[in-house]
Amino acid sequence: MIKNQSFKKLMVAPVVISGAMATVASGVNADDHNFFSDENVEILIPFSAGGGTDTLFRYMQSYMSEHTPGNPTFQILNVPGGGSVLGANEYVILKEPNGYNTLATSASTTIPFMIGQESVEYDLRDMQPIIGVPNGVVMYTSPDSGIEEATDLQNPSEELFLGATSPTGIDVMTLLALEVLDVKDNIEIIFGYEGAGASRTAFMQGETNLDYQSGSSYQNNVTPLVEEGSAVPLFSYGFLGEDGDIVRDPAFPEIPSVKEVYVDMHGGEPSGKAWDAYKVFVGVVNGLHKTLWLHADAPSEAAEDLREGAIATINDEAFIEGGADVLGGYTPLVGSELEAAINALAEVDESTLEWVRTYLEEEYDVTGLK
Amino acid sequence: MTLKAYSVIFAALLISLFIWAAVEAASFQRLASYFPLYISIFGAILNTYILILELKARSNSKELNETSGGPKEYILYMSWFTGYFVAIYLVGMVAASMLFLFFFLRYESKQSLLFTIISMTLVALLLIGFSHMMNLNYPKSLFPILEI
Amino acid sequence: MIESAIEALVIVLDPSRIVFILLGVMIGIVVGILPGLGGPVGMSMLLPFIFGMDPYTGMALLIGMVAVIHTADTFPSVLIGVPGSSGSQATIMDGYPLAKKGDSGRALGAAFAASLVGGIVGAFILFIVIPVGRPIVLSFGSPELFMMSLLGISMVGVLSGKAPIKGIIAGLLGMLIGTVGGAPAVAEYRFTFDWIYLYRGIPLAVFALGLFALPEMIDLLAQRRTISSTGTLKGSRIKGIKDVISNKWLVLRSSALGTLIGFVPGLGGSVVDWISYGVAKKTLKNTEGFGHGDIRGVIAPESANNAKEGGTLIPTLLFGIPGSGTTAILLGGLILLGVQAGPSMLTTDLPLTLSIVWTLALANIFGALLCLLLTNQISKLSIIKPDKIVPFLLIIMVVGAYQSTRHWGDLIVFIIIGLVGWSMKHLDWPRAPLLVGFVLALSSERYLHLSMSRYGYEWMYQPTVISIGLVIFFIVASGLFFNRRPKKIEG
Repeated sequence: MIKNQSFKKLMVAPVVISGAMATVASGVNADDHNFFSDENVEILIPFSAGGGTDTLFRYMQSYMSEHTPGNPTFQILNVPGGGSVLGANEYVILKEPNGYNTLATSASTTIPFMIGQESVEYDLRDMQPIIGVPNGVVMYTSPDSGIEEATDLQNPSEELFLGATSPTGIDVMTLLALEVLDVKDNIEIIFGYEGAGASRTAFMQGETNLDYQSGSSYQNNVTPLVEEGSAVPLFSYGFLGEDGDIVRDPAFPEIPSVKEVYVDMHGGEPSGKAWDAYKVFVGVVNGLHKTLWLHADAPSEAAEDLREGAIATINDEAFIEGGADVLGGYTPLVGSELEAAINALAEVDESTLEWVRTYLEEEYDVTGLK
Repeated sequence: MTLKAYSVIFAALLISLFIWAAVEAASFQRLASYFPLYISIFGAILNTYILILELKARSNSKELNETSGGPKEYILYMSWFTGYFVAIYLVGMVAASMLFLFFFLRYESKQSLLFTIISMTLVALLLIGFSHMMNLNYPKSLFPILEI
Repeated sequence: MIESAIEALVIVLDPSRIVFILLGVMIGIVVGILPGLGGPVGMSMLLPFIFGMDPYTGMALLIGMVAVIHTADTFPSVLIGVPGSSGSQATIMDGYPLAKKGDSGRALGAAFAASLVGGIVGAFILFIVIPVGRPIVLSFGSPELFMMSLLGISMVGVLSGKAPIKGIIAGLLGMLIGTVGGAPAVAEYRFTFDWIYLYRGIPLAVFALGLFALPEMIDLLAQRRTISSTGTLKGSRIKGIKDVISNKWLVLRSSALGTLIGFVPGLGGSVVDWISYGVAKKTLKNTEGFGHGDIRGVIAPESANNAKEGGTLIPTLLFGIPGSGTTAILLGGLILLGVQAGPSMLTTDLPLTLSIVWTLALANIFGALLCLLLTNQISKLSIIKPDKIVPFLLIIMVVGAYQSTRHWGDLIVFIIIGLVGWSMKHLDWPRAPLLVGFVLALSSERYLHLSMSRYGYEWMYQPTVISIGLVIFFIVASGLFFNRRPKKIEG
């Protein structure tokens, strides 16, 4: 288990801010009637039990129960399938918007929505967000690829193999990053691995020499490799800062972001369609990596109470301490920060998404996009 | 119909399946098509061989029965099962199971009323209990009765 | 290492923890007996309770359950001829014929004794291998994994008995059905008719239940026979246990094989019992009786599939790579307990890891003993008249099938596969190869694609690939050589 000293310092600011907001919020709603009166709140998790999203929300269950007004019990329903699209579809189609049914999503749910996969029936822009847990992504390589820092990707001395899963899921961000940096043609991308765990194993076996992992997974699984010298971090995908630009991943302050790498490689600042698309995806996907939602037309009192519970949860020391592993050192978003992230999603330019669709169709032979 | 006729029909259906699958597979993207395509082709070829053998095999007078069941029996019980599934679709798992048990046990296996009622109750309790304890789900039905 | 082991043992033997092991065992037995429910169901039952427990107790509960599922799932395999879970498929080949002869007591007795030994051997090998676990798991790259799936598929020949061509066709058909759903290499959905249910492919439980259970139940009713065709029970558990003792080398070999195959990340669980069965059939003398009630055909897969639980823990604990749905949830449970799978399991968390090993061994013992106790009572199911018992079985099957994805599609597919299975049964098409092909279709395609993408054709020259290839060649060749093609198809 890795205890991350630096993230504790990171947490002070958001905790203080959220605490202030909570005080304000509870002041405003001082005479609220509780919406939840002892019935169970269901969290539909569109993944099978045991995965990252499932584990995170199972961890959150009891804290939310404790801190949400009315103290409802939270119950988990796993509906895996279709890369999480099936479960999310089921939520919007079959589950009643009565305030007692919530949906947990992950990047794999968000991205098919953004790139317009035909099978997607849900619209995240309509739903009411409760809490979001950000997560970054880091790309790393093995020492014998000859790549010592990211700029070397422009001129690799060895063949580079990157393990990926599918050009319609979470890998889309990686594809965009490589396009922005213009190094895509130097890398052989091998699709078909069964997920990040499998590509990580392939990396360790030496089958691939380039890989990327989500921030929490990187902390737990790759940092030990880096320490023993069998992995070299290259860059992080970064986060969307307040000014709309890519900033370094706060959990990995020493790893350069894609933007800095671009500047080192090409001189000027990045721009263009690919870059716009990349920023959009980072903002939405990294900022809201795992999110809890309520139906668009669910009663707003339910949303308010749940959000109160969420704010109190992240202020709970025990939650943050005990969740060091599942949270990966990132602070969950609630309140106005969450709003900001959701707005970024709602305000996404349609033409950018259109560009991404065409890009995927042309470069990666993807079909089935609206 | 004789067993041989069934065999031939089955083999013919299989061949059609393989051929259809091969044609479908050819329309997939390159990387996704190799596997099903070659399997279907290989399967179709081998299956043709079997079909020919079946046709040439001496006509078997053995009817479709083993020890004592005849075609009527099979159809009878398949109908019972089908009825059960339809019931599930209409009224939901618990109600359908109780109905199924009632009719089957009383009329088909001629059990006593007591036994039937006890079974129905027990099964209903177990179904409901397990669904809560183990988070089991039951099929959605048109007219939900005793929805869990 | 030894001191840590003893330390861990002391922790495990704490009475309060033993209670939890027993609790886990009992839940595991219930989950294992009911066909269609598998590890994931049991796990999701336990997960809500784990939160807040100390890691040792929590693991006692979880591992207690996991260890026993593959012991208890022998009940439906032997008594009804339905694979209780993916690990118990091969047992139906000889277990069910034995039950039909009235020998279910013997089959179950042998199976449980074999499971007990297998589980202990698995735990033991796990213990020895843990220090070198990392390099072992890492040596299974995509080419090796492809060869392993191919090895599993080659068992099809072994299982076809007297109709090898039909067996191969069945295997191909199974593989074809296995391709329904998302393709591993590209984002293409195959054979789905735009029906969203099929996007995920056909679930194994639905397939296995439909293929074996439905036809069996219809036939039992229509032929008015009890499962035990003689209407009596004659075999005894003691005889079964004696069989295991007299076949001890087979038990040990199969257990070792099972554990080793369990190491194979991601794949081990689904092929272990078939490979063990196939290898037993090939390497033992006088195996014509296999498939008709040879007790060794029960012993081999049963020892292997309990032993593999030990093996699958290596990639799970050391790498966080689950080998099956059950181990995936196990990982989730670990995280809820505050434990991170990975290199720390060998260093800071070593006592926990070792306690897992002990729990595995203990749970296997408890589970097997409990099952042995229950054998006589549960065997009586096989002499109950079909029209009394089949309705209840049908209800259980439907519930089990539906748990796969909780869509109506489960039941629809269940019925369709049931019809196909029924036809195959009566027209003398072997169904076991269908199951094998189905289970291994996607893995073999995936790993073949990955191997080709990464290495071109070079992967074929790797020594490990060649050695596994030779094994496959021998198995297939001996199958063809010793099995003459029938001149007449038995109509």
